[in-house]
Formats: sequence, structure tokens, C-alpha cells
Amino acid sequence: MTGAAAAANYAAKRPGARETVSTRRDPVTGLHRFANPGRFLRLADAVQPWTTAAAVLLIGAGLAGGLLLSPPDYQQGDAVRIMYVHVPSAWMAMGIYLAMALASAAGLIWRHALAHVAAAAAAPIGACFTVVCLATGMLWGKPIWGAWWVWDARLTSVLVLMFLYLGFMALAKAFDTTSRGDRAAALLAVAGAVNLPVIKYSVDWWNTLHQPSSITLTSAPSIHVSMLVPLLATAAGAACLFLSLLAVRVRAELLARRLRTLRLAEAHGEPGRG
Amino acid sequence: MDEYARYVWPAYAIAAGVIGGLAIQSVAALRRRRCEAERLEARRPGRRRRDGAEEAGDDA
Repeated sequence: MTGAAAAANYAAKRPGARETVSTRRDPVTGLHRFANPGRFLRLADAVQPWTTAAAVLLIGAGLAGGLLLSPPDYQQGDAVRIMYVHVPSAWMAMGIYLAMALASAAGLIWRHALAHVAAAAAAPIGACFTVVCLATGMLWGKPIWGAWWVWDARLTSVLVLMFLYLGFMALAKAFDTTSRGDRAAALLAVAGAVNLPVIKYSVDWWNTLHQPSSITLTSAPSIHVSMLVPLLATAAGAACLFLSLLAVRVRAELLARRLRTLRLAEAHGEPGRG
Repeated sequence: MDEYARYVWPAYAIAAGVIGGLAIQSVAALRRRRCEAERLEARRPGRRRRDGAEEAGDDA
């Protein structure tokens, strides 16, 4: 038996788990089926090679296009090439937080243990994308604005997002029992979601040094297609990379929880069947 | 890119370092935990073996 299979079995079968909720077919969405760790891991196994390959190809093509093929900006010159890492990182930082908040809400409402596991697995990935977003933003700001950092609404709200990720990770590990840590961190994640529209609309609500969005869902993009295509390719690659990393980290998180139970059982001289 | 190279390349280096480091750490943590789980599972007394079902991640 592999450790991953053991973790899946443990999470699926441990006493007290709400198996009737976790494993039944939801008549409306069917999404509850994937709250079962065994089924989720089988799906992740099938999808992960494709998302990893897509991530490598899309990020490679996007960066080649951004660095070699796209023209310099008429105002910013070659400094605009930072956009191909900065903007996808910013989108991922916000998107992953949204996914984490939704998973946390599902964990609180339906008490799916896997939803809490997914949120815990996503948090470090989101935090890393936020670090990249902030660092590359500083490197872009210095030559264009003349400052590494300004306390305007966009930059400050993204910094708050970083603290929310750190707070989530710290809170999840601040309790003696995993379930209490999960619930406390989930509450923070759901409450912190109010920061997402603040980040998104900060450039519209306040006068900021940060430029408004060049790409929106409701209007045509204001950047040339020679820049847009590499940018979208890199962003799609970053999303695929997130899915691959999430699959790895969910598996590792399930194992961490299984290990905690095994160590406790060993310490008490018990068989350790969850 | 002469004028802006000292800003552009560090941006790409930071992105590669942070995301690459995360990927390496994630895979290393998974392997470490998998080894430790197998070691602890092997030490469990009275362990039932249901290899076929458990390899498949039985979801019953």
C-alpha cells in the first residue's frame, strides 16, 4: 500500500467523517462526488501529467514570445517585459485566494475534510505567487515610477493579501487539533475575501500610481495582440502549474494528517487505525 | 534591453526561484511523507493487508 493510498483511505474511512455527505451524488451539481479523497486523487492522477505538460509548454511559449517576439512599449520600452511575469502572478494570487475562500466556505458549510485540505494546500502556492507579484511589481515600479514602493491602494491591498495568506497558514497550525485549525483558518479565508474586490477596483475607486487594467472581461483589451498573446499564454501556463502543484500538495497534506494519526497511535501503543 | 536589463532579468530570476523552489519543496515534502507513512504503516501491529483495494484508493 502506498502512503498516498493510505492517506486516501484514512480520510475516506475515518470514524466520524460525514461519509453520507461526502460520497453521495449531489442532484444539482455532482461536485460533492469529488469531496471523496480517493476519487479526488484518482482524478488528480489522471489530470496532473497533462497540466504539467501544458504548464511547461505554455509558460515556455509565453516567455519566448514576451522576451523575444513582442515589441517594446512605446513609453516604457523594454521594462514592459516584466509584465509577462507580474500580471500572471497577480491574477494567480487573486484567483488562488478566491479558490481557497470557496473551498474554505465549502468546508465550513458541508464539513468536507477534503475542502479544508485543498485550501491548506493552495495557500502556500498563492502566497508564492503574491511574493512574485510584489517583487516584480517593485522591479517594474522603480524604472517607471521612480520608486520601489508607494503606499497606494493597489499595492497596499496586495500586501494585505500576502498577510492574509500568511495568517491563514499560521492559524491553521495554531491549534492542537487539525479540525479546529481548519475551521479557524477557513473563517479567516472567507472573511478575507472582501479584500479581493478592493484589489480589483482599487485603481478605479482611488487615485493610484498603478495603471488601470489593460484587460477586462467587459471590453476589448487595450494592449496590442503581439503582447496580449504571450501574456495570456503565460497566464494559462501559470494556471496549469497551479493545478499540478495543488495535486502534489493535496496529496502531501493528506499524508501529513495520516502521519499525525499514526504517530499519535504509536505513542499510545495503539494500532493506529485513524 | 540595455537600459532596463537590471530590472527585467531579476524579475524573471525571482519568479523562477520562488515558483521553482515551491515546486521542488512540494515534491520533496510529498516523497518524505510518503516514505515516513510507509515506514510507520509497516511497524503497525496486526496490520490488515488489502493491497489491491488500497492501491486503488478505495472510496467505499
